[in-house]
Amino acid sequence: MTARPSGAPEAGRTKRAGNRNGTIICGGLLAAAYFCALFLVASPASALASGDIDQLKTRARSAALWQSPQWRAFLHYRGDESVIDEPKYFLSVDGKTNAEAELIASIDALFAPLSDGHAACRFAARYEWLEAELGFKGAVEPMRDCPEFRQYMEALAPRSATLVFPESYINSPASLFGHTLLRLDSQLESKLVSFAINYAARTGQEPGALYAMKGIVGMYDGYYTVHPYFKRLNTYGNIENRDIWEYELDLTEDEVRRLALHVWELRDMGAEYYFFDENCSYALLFLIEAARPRLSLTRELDAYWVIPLDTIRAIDGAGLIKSRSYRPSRATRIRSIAGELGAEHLDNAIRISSGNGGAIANIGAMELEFASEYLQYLRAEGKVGDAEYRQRLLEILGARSALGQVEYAVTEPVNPLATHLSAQASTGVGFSGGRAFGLLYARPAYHGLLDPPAGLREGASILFAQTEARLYDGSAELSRFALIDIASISPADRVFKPFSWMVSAGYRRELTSDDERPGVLWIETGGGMAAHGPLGALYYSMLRPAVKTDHEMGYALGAGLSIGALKRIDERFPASLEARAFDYMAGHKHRQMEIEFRQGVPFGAGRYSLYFSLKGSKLGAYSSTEGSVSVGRFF
Amino acid sequence: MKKMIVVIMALAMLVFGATAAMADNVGCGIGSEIFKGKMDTTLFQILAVTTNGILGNQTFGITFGTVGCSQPSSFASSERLNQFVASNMDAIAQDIARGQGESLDTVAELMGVEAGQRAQFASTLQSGFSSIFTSADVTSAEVIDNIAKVASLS
Repeated sequence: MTARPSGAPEAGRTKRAGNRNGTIICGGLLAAAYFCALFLVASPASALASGDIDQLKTRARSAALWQSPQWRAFLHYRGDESVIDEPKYFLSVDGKTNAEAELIASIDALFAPLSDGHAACRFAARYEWLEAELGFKGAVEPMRDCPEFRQYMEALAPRSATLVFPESYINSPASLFGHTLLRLDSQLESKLVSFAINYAARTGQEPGALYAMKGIVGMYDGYYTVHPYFKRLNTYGNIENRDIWEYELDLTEDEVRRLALHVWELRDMGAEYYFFDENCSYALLFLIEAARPRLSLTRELDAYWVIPLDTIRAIDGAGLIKSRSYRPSRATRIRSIAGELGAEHLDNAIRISSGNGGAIANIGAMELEFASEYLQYLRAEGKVGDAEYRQRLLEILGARSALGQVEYAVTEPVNPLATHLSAQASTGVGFSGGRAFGLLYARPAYHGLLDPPAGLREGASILFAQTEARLYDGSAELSRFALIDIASISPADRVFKPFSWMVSAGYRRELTSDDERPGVLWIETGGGMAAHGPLGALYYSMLRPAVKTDHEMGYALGAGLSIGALKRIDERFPASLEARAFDYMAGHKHRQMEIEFRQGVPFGAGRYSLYFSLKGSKLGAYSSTEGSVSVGRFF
Repeated sequence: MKKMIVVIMALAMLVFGATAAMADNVGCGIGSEIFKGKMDTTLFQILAVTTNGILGNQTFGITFGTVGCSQPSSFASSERLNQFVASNMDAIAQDIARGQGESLDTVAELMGVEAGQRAQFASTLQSGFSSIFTSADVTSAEVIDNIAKVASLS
């Protein structure tokens, strides 16, 4: 992970001894003045004369408060400016780029006489902090008269904070990156009714590709949203079927309160949303820094790529994770229950849920557990109508309620924090068509099928900008630049029947004779099915339309078929065997066949891996063999 | 070349285009949890992770309103309980039928059932399942009243 050095000067309050004494004296006088004012003026309004505000500003200036990490955290400064674009977030016209101006303007607004729509009703966190820093104690806190703010704090009643990480979901390799949200718990035992803070983009009704593009280039605005946790669980856990990890944070109650106050300040304050950079997880780091500003989370990750898992690593590295717990998705629960049922019982339960016959009388509790969850899954997928669903659910649950309690085992998977780091560089040697080469390889993200498997779904891979250079006989060449290489090999079984797919595009060299390795650009996609089979391997087959450039005829267009098997040997050593045959039927007509075996051997606690590969190829009439061994490091 | 890319993208959008119609389908009966609705074409699902669209229009959903749902008539319920039950009917029904679960625990806590009484509460509700979920059209308000009756809560 490369980090750009932050542009901001290192934060620290400058205090001059002489002035500190002056500060205490000023504070004493001020307090005395207030006491007198209270005594004489019986009104509860904290009427600050403008002279007093000037004193506060002087105090602020001499302490250079705008340089403090707390102030920068409140303003969401990254380098020399705030990432927040909404002008209403700044009390000064220059607030987005001038932290000092913003501080002075905030003092003016926050310590002004009480009124409706007082700035403190919005900027409660700033108010409380400035109040403490400037040694000011008003007779009355202005937030007492802010009904919406009070309603918010009463609803949340926050005491502790938990970072929530929904994992990937099936057939979405992009979701391997994960997502993060922050849950604030009250003193209630139930976490379902806690409120969760989620940074999300406000999107429109545009179609898929445009939606993705806009998200990448920052054409959407991102907002902090606060909703009951059960709504998030319904979406992520039950509809998207993502396993969820909850990491309890080691923040004090005061820090959590400050975090909650700061979230209130951010209500409806938009910022440009960038998928890669200023995204959901990065946005949450500002909240944690607002709670504990001596953390340097946003500066550590001030880089081009911000992957949610990396933000959790940063938080973990700061010693903030107290404990973790695992919450299986609905699909995981369904699979776990299915594991307790024999084939016949499982088939019967599936039939009951889908309304395809199936005997409900005299069946066991475990089958009914399955049927209930599976029916809800079908409903979420839109595969069963509303009235039918309700009727059937009640029938199943009515029968279930007569059968006491049952338990089923859910295996807790590997902690996502054990996942390998996303960038990789490797070096090695090999041979191709009888000639030896040295190789150098690098890629920024994210996970390939041969990489250390811990914490990541089998068969899912997403790789960007893979670059390989080879050195033959003292001459170096680019042998491959795979812009994207995404695969989703998803096993179908009795219960779930997803399809599998892949897409890849880039530049590669192909061996056409012993001495010739012309480069081609290619785009390929593929669709098919996969299932577990003998030896515990994942077998798949895909039909792959392909097009590539060609030196003779300009292009070659055709389709291929690939058949392969993946296996994580001993859960640790990923192996892959694939045979593929392409028939290019237009342009330069020819056939291309390959059979390739690859093996990954991770070591060093997922920090390194060895890779072996052996491939036999036949391109047109020319046959060749290629092999390599390399060692890679993740960072 | 550029023109070809634009054409391909436009075609792709047509082929895979799905509207981001995410109905926040909260009602008062069973089956009111959100379901995928229209956003289930594969490309959309694959790409949906890029932005995490906002649920509904409100950024801060911190009030406990249940639009269009009636209030329990006999049990002195809280807004928070009303909202929780209205939004989690299916999970609550499942937990009551199973005699255990987090949604059931939440209901118990919000109805003021003491920690030491929860096991009894769960077991009583399990036996009384069909007196609580009386029909496929039962509403959340009725469920709360029925739970109170079955468990003899005032």
